[in-house]
Amino acid sequence: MRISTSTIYDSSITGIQDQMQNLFTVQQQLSSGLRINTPKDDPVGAAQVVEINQQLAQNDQFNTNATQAGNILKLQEASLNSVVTDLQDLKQTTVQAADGALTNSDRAALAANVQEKLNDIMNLANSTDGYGGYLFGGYKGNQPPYAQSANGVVYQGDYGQRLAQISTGRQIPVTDVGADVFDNIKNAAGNFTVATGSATHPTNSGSGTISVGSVANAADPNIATPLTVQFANRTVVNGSSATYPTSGALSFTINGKTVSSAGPLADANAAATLINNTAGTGVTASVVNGNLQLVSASGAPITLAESASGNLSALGLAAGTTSPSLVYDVVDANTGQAVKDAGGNAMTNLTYTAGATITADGKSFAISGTPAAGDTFSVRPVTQQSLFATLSQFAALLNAPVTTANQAAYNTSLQNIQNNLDNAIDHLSTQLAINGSRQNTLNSTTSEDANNKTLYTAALSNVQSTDFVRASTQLSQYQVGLQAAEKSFMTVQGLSLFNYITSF
Amino acid sequence: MADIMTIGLTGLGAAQASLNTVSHNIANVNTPDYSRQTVLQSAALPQELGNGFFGSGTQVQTVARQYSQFLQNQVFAAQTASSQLSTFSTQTDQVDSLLADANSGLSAALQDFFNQFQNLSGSASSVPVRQSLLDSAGSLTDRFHSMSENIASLRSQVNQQLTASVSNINTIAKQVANLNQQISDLAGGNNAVPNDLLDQRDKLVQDLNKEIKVSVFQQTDGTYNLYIGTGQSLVVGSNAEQLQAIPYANDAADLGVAYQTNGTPVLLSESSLQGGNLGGLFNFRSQVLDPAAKSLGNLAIEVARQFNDQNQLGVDLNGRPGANLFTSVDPLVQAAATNTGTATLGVHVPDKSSYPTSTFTLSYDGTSYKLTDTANTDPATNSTTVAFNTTVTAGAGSYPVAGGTTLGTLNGVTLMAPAGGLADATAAAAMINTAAVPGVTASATSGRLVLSSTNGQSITLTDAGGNLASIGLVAGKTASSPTTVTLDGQTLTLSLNQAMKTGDSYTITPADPMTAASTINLTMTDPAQVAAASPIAATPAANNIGSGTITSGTVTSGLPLNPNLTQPVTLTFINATQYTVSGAGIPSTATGPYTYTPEATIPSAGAGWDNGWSVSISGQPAAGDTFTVGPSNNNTVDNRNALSLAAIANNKTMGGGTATIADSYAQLVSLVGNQAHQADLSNTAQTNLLQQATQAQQSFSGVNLDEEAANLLRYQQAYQASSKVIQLAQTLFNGILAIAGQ
Repeated sequence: MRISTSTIYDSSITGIQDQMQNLFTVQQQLSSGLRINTPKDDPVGAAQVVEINQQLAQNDQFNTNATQAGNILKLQEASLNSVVTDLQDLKQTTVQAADGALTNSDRAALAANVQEKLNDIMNLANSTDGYGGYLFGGYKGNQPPYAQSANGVVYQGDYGQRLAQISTGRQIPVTDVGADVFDNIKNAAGNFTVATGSATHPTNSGSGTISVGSVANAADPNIATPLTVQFANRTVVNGSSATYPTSGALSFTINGKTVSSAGPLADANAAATLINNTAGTGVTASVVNGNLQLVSASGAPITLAESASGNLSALGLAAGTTSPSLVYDVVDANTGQAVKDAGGNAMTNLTYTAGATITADGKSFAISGTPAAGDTFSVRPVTQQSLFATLSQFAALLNAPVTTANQAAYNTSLQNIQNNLDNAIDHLSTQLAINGSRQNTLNSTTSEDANNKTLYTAALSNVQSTDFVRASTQLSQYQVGLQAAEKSFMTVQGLSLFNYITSF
Repeated sequence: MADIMTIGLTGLGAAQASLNTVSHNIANVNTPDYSRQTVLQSAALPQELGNGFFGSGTQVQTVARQYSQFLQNQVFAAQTASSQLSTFSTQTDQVDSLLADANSGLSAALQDFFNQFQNLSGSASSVPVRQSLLDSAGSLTDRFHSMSENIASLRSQVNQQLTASVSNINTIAKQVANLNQQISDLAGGNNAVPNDLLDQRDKLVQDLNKEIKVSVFQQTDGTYNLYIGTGQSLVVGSNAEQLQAIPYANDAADLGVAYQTNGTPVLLSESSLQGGNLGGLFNFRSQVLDPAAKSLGNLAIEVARQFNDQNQLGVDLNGRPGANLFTSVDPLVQAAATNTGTATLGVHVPDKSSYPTSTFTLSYDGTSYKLTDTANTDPATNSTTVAFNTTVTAGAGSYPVAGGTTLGTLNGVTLMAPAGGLADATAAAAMINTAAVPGVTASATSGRLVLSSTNGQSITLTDAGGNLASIGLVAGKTASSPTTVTLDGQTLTLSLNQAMKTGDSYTITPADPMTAASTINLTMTDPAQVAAASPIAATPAANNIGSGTITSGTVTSGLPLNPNLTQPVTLTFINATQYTVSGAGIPSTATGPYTYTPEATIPSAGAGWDNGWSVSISGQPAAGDTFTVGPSNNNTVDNRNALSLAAIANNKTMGGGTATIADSYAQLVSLVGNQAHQADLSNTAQTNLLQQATQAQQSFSGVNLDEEAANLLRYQQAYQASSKVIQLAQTLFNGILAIAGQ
């Protein structure tokens, strides 16, 4: 093949430039430490670098989040521990308060101590988290969760629980709602709240109101049963006491329908059965406190008349017409079944007397005003009591003078408070356990984060870092190549026939 | 012996001609595209002298160049491909380094921006954290701007290079035409050709091939006709056409190449103009620059859309509903100029849908609404009907209503109870249907009145003397419910505040990804406006006796927000296992009771009510316990929406739901990197091909100095030998003269 002179020069230059290019690339890799200096050096690797960097940054951020969450949880733990310590001190105080030898002034001193602890616990419940919020205030960051009001210490935060993102798709609660921590504590003593209306009949149309009420018998087994008082217009005839067995056969009419017995009636139940078995009377008979009771559920009047003189009175009834009146039933709100009164009678068809005390399942309350038929009232036990309410009661109890008359009540109340304090310590210990498990979770994610960081960093290094051994070897290799290209060019370009032609 | 002298002279002349040519070759050893020339010699015509033919010396036929059209064409082809790839590679490298640079790339800015929302979720009430978030969002938009500026400047560089290239082509074409003229003039008639002019012209054609691929057709008169593209003549004989670089009609930012046809410039299709710088520039623009700009724009749109939408689902530090963080990227709605109605069309892209690319029109022909995708020309699939339904569900009311009572007006029609009065909702429905309110029908469901209308018609009620409430209605205007439509795989949520007039239409234009990266801006300036909190709060009643607890609540509504989102709703347990629901937005038919399942989502699927939120209850609630979900109030450290904002970083909303925003950026980096890498490889390969073609051509046509040195000696010796012949002739002649003189 012919070689033209320009080809010799051109290809030598190309060869030298190629070698220099290689040398430059390796030199750049060595000096920057990066194998990928622009995405074209390794397009797939460059995309991986973007993604791994993203993962790394996110991992670091999750670690930051976890650290912050851990700080808040530690603050919460410290607060709760202090509260528990206070509560244990207060339990000691209940033991001291039980000492019969204490004078009223001794107790007042104890009361001051209780009040101090109460304030201390309130301060702890109002602790801030160091990041602009309150530990126990939910989402309300602008006011302390607990405030002193006319009704004692009340929760004014909300029910939001703050979460922290500690890994992709994993959130951990970092705060707890104060109402759940300090208020939602099982109450040893019976207590209840009342309300007009009920779940199924929320709005009353009458003017009836229900009083706050009180605990009549804290030991009643059904003290925790929620009650509904339902009003209705029914006609009720309550018989008076009668002597059984009756003498001979009886005959009378109810709403014009004749009721007659073949022989003497053994007791009120037999009389009720007789009436109920007579069709068309429009009434239902039952026995209340041993006496006969006739009810027209539809509210139609009940007219009683003698077929033979003295027959009605033998059953404790009287001739005449009874008009419908406002009556009420007391039923278990959960089951809808009528509750039994102290005498074991179902509390149904009770005549309404405004303002009269109603006692059911150990709870006393009164309804006044004029309820309308269909109106309902709810009586609901309070099974939870705020820690602050318990402490306020304790202070009030200690401040009130103790006399021989109320000594027993004092002891009962003190016992209840002691039980409530136990419940509070249990409850807070559970909260502490939850807190501890959250911190454990955080610790494990933090170490996961650290592991991930190592992995991501290694991956990043694998993808984008220069392999120094390889690059250094290449550097020497290209150096030799360049020298060879230069040397060979010098040799080739020195060859020319003209050098040897001396005579023309 | 005159013959010897003559023969000697012809040899002397031939040797001199060869020496001239060799000298010419040596002189042009470094002339590009110079073809080695040789003198073609042949024996002169012999003389017959009776006893045979006697040679009469030599004659120079012509000076020929060592030239192969085939090899030259290979060089042209290799040159044009090599120039194209080299330009493509050089340009692509610029985009490549733009994405690689940590300072100008988007990656770091995106990471920082995403992390700010994590910080916000940790300190939702902190103004410094919020400020830092806004700063970071500003840096992100700066990144978008600077990247799109870089891309725009690369685009204008392409235009400049196109203009330069076109002007270069025009100049060279003129020179080729001139050479054609000279060559045909000089060559005229005889066999001799002006070799050096031919070389010059080939050089020019090769230069032309550096700019654009040119087809060469040699004519019988020695001229070249040059054609480009799909056969447009660039040079014919001594005429050269002129190309122009002018902007496209639909894309003023980009220049194209136009060819004069009947005096009017006509743009040539880019795909037909391959090879050379022009081909490289066109390829770079269509394969690298446009996709990169579009990809970047889509990123900007997605960032703006996701964060705007999520921020609007929350409430800010001042308790107000969240605003847009960035410039809105909701599709632009334009009423047709001929519209006679005043309806307002709201358009939104639902959260998890891909952002639409087509332009749509919504039109109303008096019976139905039609959404048309203007990018789709197939009438069978390019449109869909859209239903805009309005429903008003009345409350219980207080029946019976006395006859003759004026209740109010419905869409302007007065409602009056008939003489017999209204016994119940059924009677009220009959009254409204008898009144024949245009477009509104009434019915009774579960003892309550229901008004409904179709075709986007709103329902407006006014009250007369407080009587409207007796049939359970409230004065006010109810517009049709937003409706979500999918057409050609693109999803839009449309809402109308009132019915459109017959024949009216609206054009819906999505944001343009080509410009989005340069137009994205941070519109929020007040750090308090970052909506870290959720608009709803769930609260158990203070006197609940059960152990039931309720979650804080999650907003499930997209945009437009559910109108009842923050209306209080009460969940009431009627016993331990059942609850009822009441409140605004709960249809009378959907109040329950529902069966309680601990930790199940409320409302359950198909519950018949949805106010745009969900909660769940756990534990054991007791009869009478209630839970209220309503507006949140002053919840400054509520971080629910901040967590949702932070979660956007990991939402796969791009690429048809396969990629997060960062993934999508990584794909862009990899796309451009691949292009640059491929361009590098192809460029290297093509450069080698060019080198080989040039070597082959040079091997045939090039000057080798050693060869020329040898030739120099050879022709010198031939010259000396011819001189000796003449000397001999002289000596012989002198000998003859001497004899004659004796």
